[in-house]
Amino acid sequence: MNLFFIGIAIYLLTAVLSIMVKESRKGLVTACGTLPGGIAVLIPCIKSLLTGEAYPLSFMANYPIGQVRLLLDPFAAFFVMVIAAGSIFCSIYGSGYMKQYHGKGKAVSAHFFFLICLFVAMLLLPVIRNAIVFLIVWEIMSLSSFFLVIFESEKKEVFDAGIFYLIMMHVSVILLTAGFLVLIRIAGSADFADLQNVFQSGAYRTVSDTAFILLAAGFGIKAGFLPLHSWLPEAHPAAPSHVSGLMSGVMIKLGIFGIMLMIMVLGVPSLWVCYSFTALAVLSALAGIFCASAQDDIKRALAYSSVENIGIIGIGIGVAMLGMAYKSPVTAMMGFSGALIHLLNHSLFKGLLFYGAGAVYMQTHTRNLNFLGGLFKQMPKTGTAFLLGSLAICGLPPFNGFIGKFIIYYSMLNCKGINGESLLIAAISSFALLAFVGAVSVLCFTRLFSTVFMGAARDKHIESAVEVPVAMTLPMLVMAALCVAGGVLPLFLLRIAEFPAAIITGGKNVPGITAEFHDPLFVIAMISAGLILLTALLFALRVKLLRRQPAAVSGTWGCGYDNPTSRIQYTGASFSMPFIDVIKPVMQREETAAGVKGLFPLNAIFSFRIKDVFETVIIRPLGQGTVFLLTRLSWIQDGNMQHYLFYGIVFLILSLIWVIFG
Amino acid sequence: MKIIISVLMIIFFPFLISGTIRRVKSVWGGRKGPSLIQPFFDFSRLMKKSEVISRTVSPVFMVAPSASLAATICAAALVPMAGKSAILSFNGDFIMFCYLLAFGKFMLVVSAMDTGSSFEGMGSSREVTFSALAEPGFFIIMGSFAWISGCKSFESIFQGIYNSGPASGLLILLSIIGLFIMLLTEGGRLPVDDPETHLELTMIHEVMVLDNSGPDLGFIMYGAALKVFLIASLIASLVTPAGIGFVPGLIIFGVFVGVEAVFIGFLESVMARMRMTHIPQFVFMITALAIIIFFIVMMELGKAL
Repeated sequence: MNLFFIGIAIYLLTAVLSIMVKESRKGLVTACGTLPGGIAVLIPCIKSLLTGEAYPLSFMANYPIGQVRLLLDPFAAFFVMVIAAGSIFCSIYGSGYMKQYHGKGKAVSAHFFFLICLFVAMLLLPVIRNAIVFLIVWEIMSLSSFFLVIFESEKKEVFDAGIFYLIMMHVSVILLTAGFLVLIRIAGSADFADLQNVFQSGAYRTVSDTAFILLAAGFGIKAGFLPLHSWLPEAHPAAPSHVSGLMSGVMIKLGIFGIMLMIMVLGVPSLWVCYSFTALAVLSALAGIFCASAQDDIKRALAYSSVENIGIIGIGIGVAMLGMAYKSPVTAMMGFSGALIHLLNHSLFKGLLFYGAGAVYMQTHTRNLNFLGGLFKQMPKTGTAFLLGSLAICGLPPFNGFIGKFIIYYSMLNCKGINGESLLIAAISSFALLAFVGAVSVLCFTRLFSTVFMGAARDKHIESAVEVPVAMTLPMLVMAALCVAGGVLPLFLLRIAEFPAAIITGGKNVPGITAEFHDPLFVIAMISAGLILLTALLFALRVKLLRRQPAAVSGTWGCGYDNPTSRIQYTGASFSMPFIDVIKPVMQREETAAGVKGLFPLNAIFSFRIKDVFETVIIRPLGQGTVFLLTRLSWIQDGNMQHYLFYGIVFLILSLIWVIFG
Repeated sequence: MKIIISVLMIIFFPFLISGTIRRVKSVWGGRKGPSLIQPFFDFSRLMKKSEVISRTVSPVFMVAPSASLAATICAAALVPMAGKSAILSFNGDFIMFCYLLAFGKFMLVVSAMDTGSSFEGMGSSREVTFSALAEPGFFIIMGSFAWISGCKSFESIFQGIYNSGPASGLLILLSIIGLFIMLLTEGGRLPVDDPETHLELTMIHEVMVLDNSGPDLGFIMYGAALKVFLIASLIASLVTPAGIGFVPGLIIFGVFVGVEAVFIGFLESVMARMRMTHIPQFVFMITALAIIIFFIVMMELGKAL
């Protein structure tokens, strides 16, 4: 725990230092401070994850908070590890990425300051075991990330996205506050251990269900569960790329942390809550990947894919909750460890993909797939990293993404032996839909990778793009290497997820409960390694066969057409069109066509937009309803000082009456 | 012994299957047709050739065929063949089987997009769409089988399904149809894809490899044939009854794979390719069959409860 605080202190020191140095050195200072700080934080975490030890600390704070307990147990350590690693990658990449804004009168100083604030707030959240302090730090996290999102606030769409994000985060905070207040009121303490003692027994079933729904909704907004996901595709594209990578890879995981924490504290909720949660998770995964495969903006597509992956993590949690509810500790352990492993993996490859998208944006100044293409030759390192990240996020072996998904699949197969047809139906439908999601994500990411990096440039402006500096390629390549490492070392992943999963299920750590997995994972590791080796062998064979015969270079076969341009290539939109047509009911297309009239039409315009059904059906009407209600109430706030004073007096009188007679 | 036979099968059967299909089509069309091992000669000829590459391509294009074939070979290790036993078998291997094939597909699609050809883009886009639609069906079938038999690997599921109550015959029959549609989809055969059409616009698999040549093309051809063989052998080991001994099992397996090849050849002789817009419905039949299978399994399990 000491090392943990030394790390935090280094972070804070860096924040102060970064304000004082010259603009061009701020990035470097941040990266140099985050690296030792992050490592100092990582060491106790890894130790705790491997040994299962917990490092407690508590101190007295002023009234009304009282005693504040901090605890670095494996469950917290797992998240702290994800955050610390994410912060290291983010700050190194950010130091390169922010160079383009130097000397342009931008608030670079504030940016780095808030970046470190966000790091610290996120690092502290998992170890805090007091609801009130938790909320305060949660708010610091939301606010500092808001300032990071609106870095380019002179652009209207960025500012709008920032405000939208701020509002969503505060809806989330309101829900969280309400939920925690309900709990604190019953238990009479804000400490999670006290709450756990009161609610674990299941004596207050209705209260804890209500609180669980409120809190899950609040945390769900942060995580990006359907139908509360709509801030992700707005805020991620608006933020600078290292921030979107951090937010998508790390910050939304704290929403998942919150949900897992609630399961740990409140015990498993009623059965119908578990089923609805699983259903929502499946829907999130589906909707996320459907929308992702329709986007033309790389970062929007990646943001929707985060919704998908949060959904997959949610499926793991849902299965685990059902396992707990049906008293099957094995299923619960598997579900949670699958969810945790996928979460760790997602923080790696999603960060990597956002960083890749940022590198592309930095060099080409566009995020639109229809203008990109052929960048692999100009940016081979970014391209390689992006390819590996795409393979990993599709959950393909030999990458880490497969391991998490495999364990989640496996946990569903394990539901047999538990009574109940409804469970069987839930498990098989999520099993099949998860497979479907996986297959569509292959579509989504072949589309993203190949329209950006493969083929030829679709626009002349991007032909001058060159590789990004090493400060940006290095984190990407390291993350890509970690993705491969996770794929060939699945048992290590399971090892570090076991203790946290055991803590969430509330059971004493049962060694060997996941032993059933060890054999499959071992064979998977062998096959993954074999796949890499075999690829290398076949490639070597190919090189050997071709050594004496020089390859003839010619144009791409145009099927007889002699004069191709890069504009005739398949674009992102055309690539996903057949699929979007199949899922027409959920993905409606708005088409506008004009100009094709007469025998010899001159100018013609055609454009289309894919509508996010969930946004138009759920979020918009909700927003419009709220606005409608609030405008009816706007007479209260009429700008007249006397009226406001009057409200104050009424409030005072009412509270006096309440104190006297209540 | 089993492993050696499996390895030999993995090496030779893909060629034999494509040879058989070709032969059946020729005979049906009134021609004599090439020899059964002609695909093998084609393959070895390709291995000796030099290659022509496009100006547009990047290194990904060179690596992709090797990676794709490697993935298919790894997947082959998981499929039960001789005596219903696979080279490697573990709980949940069918999940990895699917994902290995998906890895191969990913690499080929990306390399096809690398050429910058609109035709290859078209093929890639169709390939990923149709195979995405085939996926849930396969998982429902395997998941249902896993529950009713209480096993989690290809090998044990195919053994266990025979002792899973009175409905097992029906389940096997339905799943054979489902898997066969999957074979047609994934293997790129009629009526989903026409491997021998003369028009690039109407192809799926063949159009994706227009710009590959030399050993790369050889790898891709062998990989595609291997994929057909793998799914065919899933069906064949599903029909091989459990516990009839090694040699009879081997014979039944071999004969059934042959029957499937002849049947594919027959289908391709009498059918035309479907319209592209109708293929999704055809592919969704797998899921429809799978759901029927799932309901039967539910009923069986409900009885047992």
